[in-house]
Amino acid sequence: MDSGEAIGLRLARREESALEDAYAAYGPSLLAYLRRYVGPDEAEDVLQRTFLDVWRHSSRYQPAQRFSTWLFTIAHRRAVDTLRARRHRVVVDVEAARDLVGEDGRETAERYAEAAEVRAALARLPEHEREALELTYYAGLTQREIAAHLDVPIGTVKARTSRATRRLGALMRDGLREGGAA
Amino acid sequence: MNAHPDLLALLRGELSNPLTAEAGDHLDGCPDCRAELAELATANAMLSRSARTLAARAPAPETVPALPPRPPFRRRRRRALGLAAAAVVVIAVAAAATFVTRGPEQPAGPQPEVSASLAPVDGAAGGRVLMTTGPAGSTEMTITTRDLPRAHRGQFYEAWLLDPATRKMLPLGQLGPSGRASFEIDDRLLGRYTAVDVSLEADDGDPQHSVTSVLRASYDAQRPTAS
Repeated sequence: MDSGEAIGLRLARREESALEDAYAAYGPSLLAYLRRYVGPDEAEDVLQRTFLDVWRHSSRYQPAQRFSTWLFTIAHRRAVDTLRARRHRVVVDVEAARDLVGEDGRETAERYAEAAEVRAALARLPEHEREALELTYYAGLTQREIAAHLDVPIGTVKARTSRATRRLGALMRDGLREGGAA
Repeated sequence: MNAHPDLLALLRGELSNPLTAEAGDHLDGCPDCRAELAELATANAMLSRSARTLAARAPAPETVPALPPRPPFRRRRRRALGLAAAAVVVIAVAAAATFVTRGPEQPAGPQPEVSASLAPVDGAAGGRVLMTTGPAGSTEMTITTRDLPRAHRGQFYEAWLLDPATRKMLPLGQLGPSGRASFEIDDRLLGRYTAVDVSLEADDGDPQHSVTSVLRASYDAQRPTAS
């Protein structure tokens, strides 16, 4: 899997495979973000609209901008549109709307964009290492639990997690040093 | 000098207090461990923050492989995108959505259908949990509730797996407006818990279980165990 910025550049060249890569790497994080604001029922529709926009405006992506930030800016706009449209119907979720617009909303989108970058960088690790970090951090398992879950010796889990942690740290640091993301 | 401590376990808070203190003492005198700790700390910090953010709104899709297989471009009005691309995207997302729960070499084999009653912790609501064999090594769990008081704005009902002995909990995901939800759960994860819990959660960004459990059901060890 390419880095986010490399995916963005391929998108700008209208490569359809880049859209698949973007969806695989960032889709789950974008969905988590959208669920927060528009709720689980509409989140998937808004995700679809977000990716339509991503494809439609892909030529505007500038590699100087972090790809995750670009994606979440689009998702943020679609979420705001969705909540605005709701005002004309029965329910106005005032709290969600207040949280989404203005400075707080931008900060939250950026925080999710950063979280998504880390998540996407995991996809660039070897399979066993990615799995070890997924289970450790996103499923919240201890090393002992992972060993039981995967039926491997605990020493193997420790070795994989340790290698994976180092590799991910290096990927992220390199990406951020270059002004983009991992 | 003592053996080098498990630095990842130290960073993750998996060591007891005495072992943590011991690790601290060791670090005082071991430049190698200090260097390694510094290297591990960066990724640990970013991963912890990422997981906290993405889990803040209950189910990360990776812990609940229930992302419906709907193509992101099924609305036909955008012809610009090839259908083939959409199809591959769906496959990619389905793969991404299930990967955490698929451990390698899992014992398959048919399992009986299991159901359990959801009993109210307080009040008169109720429901059922139905478990059927899912795709390789997984169980399809369907939770149906009845007579739950309507969640107010800013609240939602969430389902969890629970181990009453250790109070360890795993969030499954939200119940829909109809009070129903289905989840595909890896058998090994399922085997680590013995109860299903439904709680009323406030949409406050706190991923922890609230104090308000409303329904509870136990399931027995007919499930494959985790180890």
